[in-house]
Amino acid sequence: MGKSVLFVDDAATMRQLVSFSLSDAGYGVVTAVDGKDALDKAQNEAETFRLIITDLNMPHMDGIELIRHLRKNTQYRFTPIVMLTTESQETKKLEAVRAGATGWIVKPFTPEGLLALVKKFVN
Amino acid sequence: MARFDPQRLLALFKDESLEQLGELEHGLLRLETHPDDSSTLQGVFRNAHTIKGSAGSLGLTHISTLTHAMEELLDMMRQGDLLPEKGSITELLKCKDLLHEMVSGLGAEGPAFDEGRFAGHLSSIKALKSSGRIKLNTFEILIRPSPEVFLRGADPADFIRRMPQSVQVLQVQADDSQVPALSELDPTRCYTSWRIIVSTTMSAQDLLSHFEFLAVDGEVKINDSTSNNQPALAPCAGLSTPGSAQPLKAQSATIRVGLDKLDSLLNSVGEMLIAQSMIQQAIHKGGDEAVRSLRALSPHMQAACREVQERAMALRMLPVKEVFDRFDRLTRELSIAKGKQARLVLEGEDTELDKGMLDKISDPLVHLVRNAIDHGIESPEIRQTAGKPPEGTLTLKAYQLGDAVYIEVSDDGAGIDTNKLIKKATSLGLIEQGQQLSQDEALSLIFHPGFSTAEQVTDVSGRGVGMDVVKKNVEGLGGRVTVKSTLGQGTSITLKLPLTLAIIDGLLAQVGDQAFVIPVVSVVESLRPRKDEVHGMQEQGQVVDARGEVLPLVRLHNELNIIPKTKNPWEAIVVIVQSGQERCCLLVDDIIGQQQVVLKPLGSATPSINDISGGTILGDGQVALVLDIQGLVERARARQIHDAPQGADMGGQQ
Repeated sequence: MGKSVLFVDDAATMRQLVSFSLSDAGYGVVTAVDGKDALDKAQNEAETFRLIITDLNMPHMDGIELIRHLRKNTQYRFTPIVMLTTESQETKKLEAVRAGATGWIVKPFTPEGLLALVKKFVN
Repeated sequence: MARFDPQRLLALFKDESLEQLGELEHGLLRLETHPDDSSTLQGVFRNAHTIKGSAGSLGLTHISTLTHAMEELLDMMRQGDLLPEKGSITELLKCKDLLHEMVSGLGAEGPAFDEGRFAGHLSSIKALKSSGRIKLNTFEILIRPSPEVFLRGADPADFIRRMPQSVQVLQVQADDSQVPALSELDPTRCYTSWRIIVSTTMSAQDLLSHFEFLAVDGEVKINDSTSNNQPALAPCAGLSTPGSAQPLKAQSATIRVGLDKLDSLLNSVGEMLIAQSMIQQAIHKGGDEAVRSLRALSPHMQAACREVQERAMALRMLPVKEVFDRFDRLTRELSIAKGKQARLVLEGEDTELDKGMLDKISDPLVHLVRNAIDHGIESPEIRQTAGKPPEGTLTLKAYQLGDAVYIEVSDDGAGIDTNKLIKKATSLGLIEQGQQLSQDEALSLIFHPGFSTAEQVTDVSGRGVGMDVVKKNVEGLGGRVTVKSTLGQGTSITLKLPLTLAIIDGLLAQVGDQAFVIPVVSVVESLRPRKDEVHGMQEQGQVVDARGEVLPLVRLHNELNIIPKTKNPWEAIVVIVQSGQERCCLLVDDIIGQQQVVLKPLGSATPSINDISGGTILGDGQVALVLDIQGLVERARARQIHDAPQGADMGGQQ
């Protein structure tokens, strides 16, 4: 289908919310619980994700490390990766951008805001 | 007063409204490409307003409701709360179509109009009205992404392609000058920067947030160009209509010049340089010989300078073709709209005119062509009854004669019925009952402002709509308008225009210690009257009997507050000047001579001064003011009429 989004967050509520709102809008959603899980899915899923949305603070492998790993993978070198941040994470945001994050969405966000963001990157 | 006849009233309303609707449509179409044209907007508003008013008084509720809705929308455009863009114009045009059906169907059998469409348009207008209020902004977005942007998974082009819905992209320019040669190009790096012009209801802040992912490590700047009033950017369609150069700022105006003109200018400059070096050599000789040589060289230099001047001026000259070409389409569309058949013949399209002038006569010409088709050329049936071919001929002709260019707009239509003009003018109180007018005087009534602002103008089977504006515009350019018409055979209106706006032939006149320039085009003759040819009271209401013609005397020293050498006309000179059909005598001390002067505006610091149209610098460095002959003559005539009883008394005594 080629419209798949990988969503990475350790909070189950967020995973639920995001996969509902994105699949309602016609996108395929795969979720992962942390960086390690995400990297695993990114490398082993049959299709290449069109967009990856990841939280920053997660156990095992945090978002920034995940981004660094993904950018080393030629498959994901130019894939948009959007992080979830809060207002207070300005420095983290810059660190993530330097690591290769494409953009960000500030928590808390509405389903409409998320959808608008996804549309920016996935047709 | 005729008996009240509702049937006749309805017929009159139909005629009038259909005409208004035609104008309304043209106005709307023009607005689409010229959204800044406030006078067109004003006209369109007036069209809707007129129909609404009449419909209301005739109890035609539906027509008045619909026109009222249109009027409200147009009013929002006037206030600047809504932009006359494609959506709103299209809706208004559709409303106009429905109105046309409603008006045409008046008095006919069967269903008057489509109720569904009627309600639909009302609600669309309502929607448009609520969409208004928010002003459209024009922004210039400058994007210089970080070279590493691709490595972050962001493609700047995506951000440009996927603008928010409320953003209309007017122009995108990519600057690829930083892209290196292929051998050195790193495809993972971004070398391009962009300049984008958009029109949107969003704020600059919101627009910036769309690009924040590019701004984080790159550069994104948003400039508000709404306030800069750059209409060239506002409508995209406007870019493709260079013919209407009016809204373009002078600073950005360019002109295409033929290479031959440029070459001949350079050639003349070369001659001037040769003359200059010869003068240099002559000076080195010293003494009497230098003077002799310089004297011999002076005419040479003069000729060279004149040639440079003429050829430089020629650069500003463009063929009238540039303006004439638009009339093909206008003629076709107008004649279809009016149910007429008209053929446009263009003559002398290669005649050249100053660019500035060309821009300014374009609107008056549109007016004249409209009038000719609207009022001049008859419907095919009437033409055939009159023994004319069903197709009317409209001729646009340009030619140069002396230092003036003439543009004639003539038709082989019905001509102007001067009797009707006189009747109309009498009823408007413009002329006295029973006043005798020559053919020319009667025809020139159409230039009277009263004629165009008066309602029911279309009852007169002549012209009248805005002819005063045409005349004012043309005279503002130092030109003249004349009209010739033969009833049943057609009308011809001639614009006489000076070749250029910037350089005029001036008659230098001395008053007291100051020199003034009188444009030679306005000068009829100059003479010293005999004492017995000056009549009237000292200091006021004086007239000069110049070769049998009694003309009001304007004492320039009084007008301009200067102490003259003499106050007696028989010891000074009177210059007879003419503006339009009217003449007067200007009293000056002396005539200094005639020379070409470069007309310079007095600048915005000096408000417009009565009697003065500009300034110039004379050969000796002295500044001379250029007299506004039109204003002087008009004021003199007005004063003369005011003083008429007194003048007549004096005349009786002598």
